[in-house]
Amino acid sequence: MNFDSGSFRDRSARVFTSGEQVYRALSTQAYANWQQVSNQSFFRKRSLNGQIVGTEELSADERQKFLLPGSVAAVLRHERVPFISYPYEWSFAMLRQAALVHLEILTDAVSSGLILKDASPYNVQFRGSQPVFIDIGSFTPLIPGEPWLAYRQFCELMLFPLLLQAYRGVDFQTILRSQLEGIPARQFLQWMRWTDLFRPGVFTNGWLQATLEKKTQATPTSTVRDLQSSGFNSQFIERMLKNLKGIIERLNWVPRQTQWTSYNDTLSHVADDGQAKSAFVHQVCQAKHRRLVWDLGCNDGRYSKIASEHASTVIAMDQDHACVDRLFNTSFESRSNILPLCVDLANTSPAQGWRGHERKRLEDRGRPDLVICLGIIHHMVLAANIPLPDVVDWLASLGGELILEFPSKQDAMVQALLRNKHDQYDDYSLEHLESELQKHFRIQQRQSLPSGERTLLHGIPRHSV
Amino acid sequence: MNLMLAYFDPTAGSLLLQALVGGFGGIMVVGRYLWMQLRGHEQTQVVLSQSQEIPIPSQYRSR
Repeated sequence: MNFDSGSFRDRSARVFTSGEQVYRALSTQAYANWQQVSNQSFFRKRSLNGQIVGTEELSADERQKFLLPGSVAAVLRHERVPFISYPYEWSFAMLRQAALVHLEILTDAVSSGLILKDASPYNVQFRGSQPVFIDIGSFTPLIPGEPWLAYRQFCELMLFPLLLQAYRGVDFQTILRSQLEGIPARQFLQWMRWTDLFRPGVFTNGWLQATLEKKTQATPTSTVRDLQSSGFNSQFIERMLKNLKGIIERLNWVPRQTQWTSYNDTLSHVADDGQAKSAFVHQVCQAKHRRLVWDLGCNDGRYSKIASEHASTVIAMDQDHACVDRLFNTSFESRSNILPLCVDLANTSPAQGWRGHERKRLEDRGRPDLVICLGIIHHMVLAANIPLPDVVDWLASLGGELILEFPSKQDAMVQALLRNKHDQYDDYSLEHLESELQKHFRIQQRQSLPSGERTLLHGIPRHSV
Repeated sequence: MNLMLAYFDPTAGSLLLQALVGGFGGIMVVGRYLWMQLRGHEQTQVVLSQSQEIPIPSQYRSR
């Protein structure tokens, strides 16, 4: 049994895992809150349709096996989300969906006399392409006259990143990755032009909030208590939630065309090899059902889609935000089991937050059963300058089977990568690749592609042979 | 540097904003709030929520 290193902030509802199961230990007050929320019709309805994580209370007998402290009043068991992802790996449409789900659940909660004490996008995860709210401990009774304490957090971690992306085209992922608490109003305004003040959400939530924060920073009394005494009521919260939902629903980000957004459509060799690659991936994937598949450099997700027919969940990763956003939109509409993520393979998400335990490394969030690595290795070796043995070692460290595409130095795209570089890549050859692969994998199958310069390999980890 | 700044509550502005954008009723609330501030009433001590910490048992601590 392990207490989750990222759940320390909520001291009354700590998360722990045991085996494959996820649990939450509740204090007396948190248990009373759970009893209140679990009886609400909105909660039952949204749990049934999957927007709130499946949760059940353990019997006294079941929870005895955990030897928990006496202050634990009850234990909940949560449905396990297939793969934990973070907002700094999401595309615009993903963060937008997470914000909307959060607002919808909060609106229901407020009209039922409850509120969410946090407004963190980390409390929303994706089951495949569908958002699911996971922080049951966040539901607390709405105290009459008390404002929405998490409004600022909502702005800093969801609204401002979305507005930045939609209005100014600033990719929010790099900011959220380094600023885990989000983007303060004053920093948000530094990216805005004065004309943006007239766009929905900027003046009120940005400028006015920043100004009021500055004016009230020396207020010696409790603003919450004073507002209660002044007649604040929950109708103001409901009005604000409606307003925020309207702003976010209308937000749209139209990415510029990048070299990757039309990659598979415009290059003839890609089209020629594409069919053979699809057949190869299909053949490997259909051999057995896999729980988790990673597709590295997924582009438009065509191989993710093939894998998704034979896997529980496919994590489709690409560093191109536009590609990931487009794939998410199609996956979301079709409710597929593909979770697209923005990932730079040469700089994957690190362990960070408090003592480096709060947010996990990408590689520590679930071992893939199969890794699809097509059209990527030449970028890692020749563009990112990572030595080929190191790339193979990393792929092997993931622990799953491997489908790898290797373009030779005569391949047109490889030559394009090398055209302005000194060729220092003596290790870049099929023979060297295979000898490195052999250290970790048994090569099950290899196939040349129609272009003649590319080879597909299927490796099975030696430890599982 | 004023040491008070290290302790200021940056949420005060975001809380007031929720009333300020609440139409006529909200502006009345803010008006009453400002009047209270001007009168300089007693400082309030308030606990927003009761924390009931669940300690991690020593046998489960990883560090």
